[in-house]
Amino acid sequence: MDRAAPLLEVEGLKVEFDTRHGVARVLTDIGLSLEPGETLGIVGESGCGKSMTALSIMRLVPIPPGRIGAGSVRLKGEDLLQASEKRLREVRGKDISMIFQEPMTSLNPVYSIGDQIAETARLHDGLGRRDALDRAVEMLKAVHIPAAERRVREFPHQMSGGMRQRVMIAMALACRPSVLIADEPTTALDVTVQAQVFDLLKELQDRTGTAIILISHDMGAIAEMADRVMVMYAGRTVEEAPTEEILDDPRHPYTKGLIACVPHLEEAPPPVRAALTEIPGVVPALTDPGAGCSFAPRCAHADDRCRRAAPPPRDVGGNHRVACWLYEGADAA
Amino acid sequence: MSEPQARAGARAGARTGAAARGSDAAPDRIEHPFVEFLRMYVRNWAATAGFAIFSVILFSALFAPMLLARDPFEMVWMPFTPPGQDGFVLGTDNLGRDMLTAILYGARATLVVGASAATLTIVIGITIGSFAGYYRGWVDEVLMRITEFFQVLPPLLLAMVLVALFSPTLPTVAIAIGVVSWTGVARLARAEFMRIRELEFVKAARSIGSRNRRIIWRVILPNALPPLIVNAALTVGVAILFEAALSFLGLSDPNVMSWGKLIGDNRDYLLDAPWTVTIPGVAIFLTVLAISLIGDGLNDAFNPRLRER
Amino acid sequence: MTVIVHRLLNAVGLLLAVVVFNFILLSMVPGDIADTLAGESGGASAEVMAEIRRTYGLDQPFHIQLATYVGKVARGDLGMSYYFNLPVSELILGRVAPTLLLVVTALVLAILIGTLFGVIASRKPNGAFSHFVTVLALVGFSAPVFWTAFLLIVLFVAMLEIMPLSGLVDPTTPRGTLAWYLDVLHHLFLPVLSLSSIYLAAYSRLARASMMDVLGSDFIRTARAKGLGETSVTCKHALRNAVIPVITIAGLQFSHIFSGAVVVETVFTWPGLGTLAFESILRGDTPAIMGILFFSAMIVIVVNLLTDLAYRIVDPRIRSARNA
Repeated sequence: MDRAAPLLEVEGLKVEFDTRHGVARVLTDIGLSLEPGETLGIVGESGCGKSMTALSIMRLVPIPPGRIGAGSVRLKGEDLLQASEKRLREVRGKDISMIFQEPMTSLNPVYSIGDQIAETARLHDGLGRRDALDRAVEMLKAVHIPAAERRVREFPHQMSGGMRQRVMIAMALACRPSVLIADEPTTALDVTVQAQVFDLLKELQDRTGTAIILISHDMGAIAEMADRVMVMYAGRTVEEAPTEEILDDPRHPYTKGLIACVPHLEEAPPPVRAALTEIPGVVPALTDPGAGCSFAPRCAHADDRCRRAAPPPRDVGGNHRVACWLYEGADAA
Repeated sequence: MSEPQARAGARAGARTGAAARGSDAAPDRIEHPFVEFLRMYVRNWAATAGFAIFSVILFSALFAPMLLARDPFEMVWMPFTPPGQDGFVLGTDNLGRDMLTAILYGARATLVVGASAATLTIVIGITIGSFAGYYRGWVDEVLMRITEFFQVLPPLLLAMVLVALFSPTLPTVAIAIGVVSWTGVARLARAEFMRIRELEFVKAARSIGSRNRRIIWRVILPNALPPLIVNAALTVGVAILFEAALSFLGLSDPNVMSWGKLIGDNRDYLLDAPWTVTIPGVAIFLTVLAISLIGDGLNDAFNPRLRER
Repeated sequence: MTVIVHRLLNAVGLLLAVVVFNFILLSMVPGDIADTLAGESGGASAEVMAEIRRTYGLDQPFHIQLATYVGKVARGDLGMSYYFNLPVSELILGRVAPTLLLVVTALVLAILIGTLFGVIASRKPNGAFSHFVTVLALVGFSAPVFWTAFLLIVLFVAMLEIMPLSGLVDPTTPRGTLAWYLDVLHHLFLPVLSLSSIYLAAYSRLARASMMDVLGSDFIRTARAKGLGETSVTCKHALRNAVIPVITIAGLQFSHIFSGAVVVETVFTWPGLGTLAFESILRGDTPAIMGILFFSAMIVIVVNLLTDLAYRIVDPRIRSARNA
């Protein structure tokens, strides 16, 4: 299929961190692409590089000790990794916005939420004080915060976690960005509130056409939200496919493990409950990944070759790519 | 099944991963905590230097009579002999007293008063702070009002008044300093006790029926010690500065030589014989500096976040 | 509103406690005013002593004396100075201005410059300036303030000869003129430098630690993700959070800076409360000493109330605790 340049395209991204144990390869050869209005889910365990991918797109990786070693991040064709710091500040909050895991600490405690939302509008859309505050009220209404005119003057500590995350979303969407990166947006919230936040994100996406990168360790959340899923392990992409495809037919042993780990409560009639599954073994240190596949130490199918060389990603048909030696012969035509 | 438990399954892999990185970063062999503490401390060159300076000062104070068997008040030579002249390493002061002898003997008064005042400060502070933080409620309310009361009285002024109203002797000076400076320790101890009393092992101790006294002194206090020990080092430094200020103002035992007194006696001759004022000042400065370096070193050595550097 | 009322009541209670404490201290001192006055006049007969005791109400029982004393203090009567034979309150009011000038200038400078140093140091936690702040904090803590003052005198008065040695103002300058004010500033320089050096050092270290703490927090990342430049991130988002601990400590330490002023005033013969306190102690002028102790506690309490207010302006979390 021949397409025009995607909205956001990341290629060959490599990020390293200097640590006291040597250089940690936090991201190795990460690639992704995003179309307008699409939702891409990124899953993996904590420390697999999901959040680092997000921060690299915004070029918010702390440098030093971090370093973006190679690759490109192209927004509508413009490489952000080559752009000036000034240009990047224009992009942040205006074209690409981000919401974070901790709504309790991601808002500045000493400014009212209205001021914090208005700040983005004043900065990027050049609105005056009054107009920006009006925009803040409008955004609070859009994220369904009741009594928006009153609450706009309130401070973060006066709101619940779910409310604060709504404020974060309002702030992120205040300038109608084309890409929204949501880094574990519901992890710190109660289950019921999680569902509300996801519904809100979907609703806003339908209205504005914003593309979303949803980062989560929760396969269930990803399954509900994402059009496509990217699975990361130890700083690499191990599998990528449309959501349906990956749920029905996971190829990589790690992905299979992740999906098996999601507890299916309705399937386990009491009193005989299946034990919760977990993937045995540990993630290798990023400072010493070895030459082979990084999942090999935990993989039931691993053989000598897996321990010797890392498998390149290959297409297995149906927009499905997987990096595993098991599928060496399965190259799609 | 609660939500965290349900999540636990999905996160099991994640947790083992995190644990792996944790143990990976830890040192290979497990050391005795005290050995590790020492290793951390010695690695900090500034703290080691502080310890060395302090040892020298302590040594001179202890062995002053053996090093120089002289009365520090005795007039031995011409007044205002500059340092190095006529065999007087640090010169003589306005009364012709040997500065070196005065400095050596002065260390004794300074250290004795500093140490006993600091001990008093810490004992009062920890007692009040621990009761307030442990019992909360009206006990806390009353003790904190008392603490607040001592906080609004300028400490040096109050110490001056106490020394002047009673008698200018070393014990009075030490008690006065202790009485005016315990509030900081009390607040710190209170905060630590309030934090620790909510932790699981304290609840466990209470659940097996330990008595309050035992919980306060045997269960909570040992866990509250690290910040208190670091603070204790600073307390000694502050007490020495207080002693110096009081004896500089002439509010100390006139028959005991101390560094502050030496400066006070010679202050009018500052511009003619600056060494009579600056040298004892250097002695006070170095002592307090050494103690602060030790305090900083203890702080770093106690702080697990810095361990792996 | 209730919180403010509560604070004010607490302040009044503290002041009352200071008065009672003063009285108890006085009654614990061996000898009384009759002995002192008799001593000064070179001995007196028993009748005269009894007369003096009656005049000063010393023949009354303890609690009556205490009540009388509290009542007097409440009316602003702090007694008569033995030495000057003047009302203590008058004596104190004549000395307040120079002390406040010294203490407030030193405190404000220490907070402003200390915060500035801390912010600059926090930009590069391992940079040269950051190490300078660490060393400065150590030196400032360890140097006795009178020694710092003497070193400054040796440097500025003896060697450079650009600063006056002591006093508030050159007595030959006509009072109230611009030259007079400038001369006061000239005389103020060394005392303020000596006194603020301790606190400048402490606050820069505190501000540095506080800034580094704040700069690592999540909302700073949010601010960067919004597209704000580093100047906005530091000055708008980080600084306001980082000054909160500095204000807290400055408020808590105000009684210490007042103590420091006693020593500094003595060194520079600055005609303030500190010098008065020191001289009164040497003269055994007990009413004056007690009056000064009471008055300085009052100043500290007022400053604490003001700090509390400043705190509420900077930190909305405290402000709304009022409603709770």
